[in-house]
Amino acid sequence: MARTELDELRKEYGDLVAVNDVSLTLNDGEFLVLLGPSGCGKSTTLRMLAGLEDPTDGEILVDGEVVNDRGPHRRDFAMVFQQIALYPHMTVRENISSPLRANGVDKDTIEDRVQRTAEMLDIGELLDRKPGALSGGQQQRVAIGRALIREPRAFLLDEPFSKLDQKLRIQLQKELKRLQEEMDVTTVFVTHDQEEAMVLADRIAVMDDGELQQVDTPEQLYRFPANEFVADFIGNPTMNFFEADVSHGTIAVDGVPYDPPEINGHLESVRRMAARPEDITPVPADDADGLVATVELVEMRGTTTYLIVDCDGKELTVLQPDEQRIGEDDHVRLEFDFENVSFFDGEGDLVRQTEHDRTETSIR
Amino acid sequence: MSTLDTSAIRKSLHGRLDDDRTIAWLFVAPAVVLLLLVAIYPFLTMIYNSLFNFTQAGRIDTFVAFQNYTTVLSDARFIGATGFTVAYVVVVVTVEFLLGMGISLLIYSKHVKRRQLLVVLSLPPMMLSPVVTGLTWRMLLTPEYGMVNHLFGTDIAWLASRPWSAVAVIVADIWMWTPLFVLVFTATMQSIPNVYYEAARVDGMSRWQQFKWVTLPQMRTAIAIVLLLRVVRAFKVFPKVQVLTLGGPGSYTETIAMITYNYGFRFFDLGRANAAGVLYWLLMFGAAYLIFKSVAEELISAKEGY
Amino acid sequence: MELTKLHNYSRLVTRAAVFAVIGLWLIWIWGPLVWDFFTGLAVNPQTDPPQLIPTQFTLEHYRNVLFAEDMPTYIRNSVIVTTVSTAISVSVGALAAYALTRYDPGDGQVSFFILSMRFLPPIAVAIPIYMMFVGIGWINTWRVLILAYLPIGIPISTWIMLIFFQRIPKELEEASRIDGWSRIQTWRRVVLPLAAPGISSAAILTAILMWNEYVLALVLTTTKEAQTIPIYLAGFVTTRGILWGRMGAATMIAITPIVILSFLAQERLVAGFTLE
Repeated sequence: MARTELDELRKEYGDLVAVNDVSLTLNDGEFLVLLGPSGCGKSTTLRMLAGLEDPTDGEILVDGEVVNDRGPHRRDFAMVFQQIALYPHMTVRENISSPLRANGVDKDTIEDRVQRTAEMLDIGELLDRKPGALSGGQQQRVAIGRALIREPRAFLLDEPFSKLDQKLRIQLQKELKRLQEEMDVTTVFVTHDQEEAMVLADRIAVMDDGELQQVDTPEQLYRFPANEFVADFIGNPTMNFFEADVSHGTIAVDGVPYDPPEINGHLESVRRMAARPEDITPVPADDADGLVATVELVEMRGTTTYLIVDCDGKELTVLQPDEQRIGEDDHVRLEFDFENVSFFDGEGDLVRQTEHDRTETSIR
Repeated sequence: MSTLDTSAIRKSLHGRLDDDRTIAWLFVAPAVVLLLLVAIYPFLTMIYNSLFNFTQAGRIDTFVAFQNYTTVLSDARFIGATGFTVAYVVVVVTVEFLLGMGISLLIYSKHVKRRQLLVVLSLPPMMLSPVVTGLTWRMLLTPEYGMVNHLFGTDIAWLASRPWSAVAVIVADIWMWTPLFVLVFTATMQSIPNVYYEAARVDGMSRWQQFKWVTLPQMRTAIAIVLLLRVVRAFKVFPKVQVLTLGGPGSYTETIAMITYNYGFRFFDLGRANAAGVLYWLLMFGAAYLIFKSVAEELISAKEGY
Repeated sequence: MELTKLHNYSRLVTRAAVFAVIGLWLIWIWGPLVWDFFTGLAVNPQTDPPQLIPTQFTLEHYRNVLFAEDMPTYIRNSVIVTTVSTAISVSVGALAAYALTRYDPGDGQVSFFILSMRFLPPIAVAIPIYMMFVGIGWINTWRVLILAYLPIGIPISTWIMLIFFQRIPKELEEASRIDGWSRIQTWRRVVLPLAAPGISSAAILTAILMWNEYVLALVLTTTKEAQTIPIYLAGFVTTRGILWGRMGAATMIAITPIVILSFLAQERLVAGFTLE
């Protein structure tokens, strides 16, 4: 089966290192999302995989064979572009059938496959129109159709939904996920939207500054971010960061001592702590020790409500507990769920609480 | 040195053959080579030839260093032609700019509906050969039979008296080239998003303020380009004047292009013609450079920005 | 109530003024052309006082320039020189413009070089070209004009096509490559069809410039074997100065192809000339 590997792939533009020795293996049939802020090198990585950019160094291997020298037309990847990139002078039918015609497939098969693809994407009525006459969502469906119609080695998508409105985006995400599962085709999807990544991915590869930060399932990524960048990038609202110092069974959080129920592992190296809003519980301020904060804003988000609190000049986001109503200007004391927070060392890398972290996570 | 990496060699070779830049150079090569052959090479020979004397038959004769230049520069006729050309360029470009801006603003005022049609109807003169423009105005300005004297009830020898022959040449140029300004300005005005004007109105700006703070800044690039194009082109003026006044009366309306031609093909002095050509080019390049530095440079930086 | 009336009144006056000025503008633009037109048709074009619309019409002048004089020879020369030189300029320019928009080898230097040709005065090109070719007997041939017109044609066509190629997203070509088409197939299937409007407007503008060119033709051609229409027209000034009817007729014939071409390219001309 098709196994695709990137081996120490590198791209430099003059002095700028866009992609810094990225190694990554695509498993057959998986949905991998390349996630990162704009300019992190994720698109460049995808384009090198597609053959649209020449790597400065490193290799791309398909089933163990180096394909660096093959042009994009000889790699058998399908791709969907952010700019949609439908041929404006051709009809939808001609657009969709383009890859088949390029490979000399016979007319009847083409017609058959066009019909099937159009049905799958619900664009049957649009076949004889030109792309200019379609809405943004329809255009993107056609672009997906052009990729789906062949049975490519892999399916590459470069922020395909970023220009669509929210509702359409969510709908197309669902359809894409369903189609991908049905067809069982290896897929690489580039996005800067971590929520989109969480919805779609079997695995997420987080990139920053040209380097791969962590490759993991969405759950693992959320629960065990490998470093502070990933912790900060994944999740909405974002994590709250604190200075942390562990000694003799107590944790000083921003200088305020806490006594966690149990502490596991060697946490001497811990310098920082990150807690998700749901891992911080605000209780009405009392005489007990702990960080004290003032509620500045109560933010309703459908079923959940967040409190934006001011803690000694630092803004934190915490979850409004179900059983308690806390209003603006209330003073609260913060309690932490120390089993679920993440600790980082001086380098910003995750320090594991061994007892709790049974599952293996890996970088790459 | 047995560790010499074969894959590195393969890579560099591959890199050279399939490099997009190599292909790109192959694509631009024909244009560059042709221009080197038919423009740059002749131009360089002109500089070289300007240092020599020529026989009446056009054969290269003796090396005279800069003597041709001193002859040309001390020729009152060349100086006069230079003065006339510079004045001509300044006057026609200024008038065309102002008139073109005015007409464009009228066409794009809210009173006018069929703007595109008006623009198209304004264009024909700039498509014509300068020779045609010259002939047309020659007929119109002929004292007895011409329409202009008749219409204005004047009795002026437009083509053979001072200062009227200069006026005639300038009027013909304005007729021919104001349409270019109208074309460029209206196209730019059309592309200014209406929200800017809405915002300006909300801010309480008057018409004049809207023009000054919204329209003009948005047109800066177009203005820079069209000025540059026009100045360069106006400096080349030759056939229009040749047909209208033959440079007369005397050499009153003679331009640099004409005197350069005359040196070579009327007086058969190719040395002087070459020297005049070099001086002509320097002047034109200098003018273009001045405009470029003063107004057009921002256009380039704006282009790089996007 | 009174105020609205007043307002409406002043609006009406402004409107009238705007239309009056635009009307004058159109008369100014079209008057001379109409004059040319009727001059070519009048039995007696030189009258005192002059008449815009002649009392008696004739096609005599057209017959004269087309049959009694040699205008068809000049037309032939113009057509050949314009066509060939335009074809070379546009093909060479298309290649260059494409490479410049996609890869820009030389980082802007090449496009600057090509465009800087506009700064060369034609007479400063004509004289050295004359001297280059006079020795090998190329003066007064089509081919010397075709060559000499390239410094005009290549920059303008490159410049216009640059603008049009820039508007073709490079993702379209990438998509085509991904679909499995080779570079050459992609160029033929995607780039050329989309660049067609740009190529045709480049061709039209280039052709108009060459059709109208005077200085180079004046220096490099000497007889009607190779001389072009502008040279023929300019001849009316010296040798046939009083033949206004023929002048008008010849002028009309000379500008007809341009009128047709610019009408064909109407909207794209705007894009070509504005050079955004």
